[in-house]
Amino acid sequence: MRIDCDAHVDESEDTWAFIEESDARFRPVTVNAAGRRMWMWPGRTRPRHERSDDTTGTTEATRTLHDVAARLRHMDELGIDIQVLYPTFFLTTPSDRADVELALCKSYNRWIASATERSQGRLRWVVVPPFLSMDKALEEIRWAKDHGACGVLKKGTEHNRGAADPYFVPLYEEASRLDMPICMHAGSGDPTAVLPVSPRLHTISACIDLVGAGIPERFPALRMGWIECSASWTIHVAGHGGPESKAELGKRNSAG
Amino acid sequence: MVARNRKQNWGSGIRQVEGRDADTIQLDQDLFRRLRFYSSCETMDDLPYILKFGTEDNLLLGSDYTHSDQSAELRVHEIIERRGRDGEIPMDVARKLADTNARRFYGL
Repeated sequence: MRIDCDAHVDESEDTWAFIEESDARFRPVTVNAAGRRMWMWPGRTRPRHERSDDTTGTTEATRTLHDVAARLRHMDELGIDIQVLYPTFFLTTPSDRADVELALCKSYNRWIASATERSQGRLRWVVVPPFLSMDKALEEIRWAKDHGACGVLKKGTEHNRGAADPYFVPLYEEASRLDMPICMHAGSGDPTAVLPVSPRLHTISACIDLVGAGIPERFPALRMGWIECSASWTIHVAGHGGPESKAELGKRNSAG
Repeated sequence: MVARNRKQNWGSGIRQVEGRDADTIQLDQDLFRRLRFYSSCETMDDLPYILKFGTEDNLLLGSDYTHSDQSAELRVHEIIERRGRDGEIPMDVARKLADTNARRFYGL
């Protein structure tokens, strides 16, 4: 079997169709700003990607899940059995307002659950928790588990809280109880999306936070993954072991 | 950045972890397995070198389907499996990256 651990969707108007009427004012709309398509919602704008089918090798219908059957056929062509879906919109935290964040997250989770229902289990997904409302975040994770989710999206920091912040302990506890991994995807937990460093470094740094604070030991069943950060950083965390590996390094360096 | 924004007392946190030596955190080649950490990898990664550090059961493959940035490679599984057939990495490791590690990580 081939499992694609990091596939994405592009959000569309369908994504926000699940926003409750009482929160309709939070629904992102598409605007054209100086010839560029943008999402706009309370307090924020963000580019709405216009992608090239040729460059991405995909189509609008497969990217947005407007045509799930087409996505599955494309997966067949690529020899992929299962994809685990991550958002695009939520790779940067969407709002510093709890009410807005909750509405957007709930709508996304319900949209992707509905869309992937038609995939005969070949499209799984990670839940997007509303981190500003931890009680609601836990509810969302439980709901998502029952509707096809297989992981919990998180970035290295969320709303300026590091990964080992005690604020997130309930999240780790519930994810562990539900046997859902924490999926640290490269991205920004800052709603202003202003980062002095690469989103990958931001996410990788969470590993050191978590190890230092003993989070993995505290939750001995919890799995955590670093997604779209490449794997080159892992050698620095796994360490260089002892003389044996140093000798091998020496051989490698002298061999050029 | 994290330390600036929220003061984190790593020292006391380390000492309070049961079973951990008070002053050291063991960074070793068993860390990923021991702490149940996983990482996706990319075709640009130097896998033969990275695999020397004991992570063959903890690496995953992702295509970044939909996006077109440096991570994107729709045929990542084919490429890695070819590297297994060519002997660049062990074939059984290529299969782990493509399949078994992901099933374990996501609980599929």
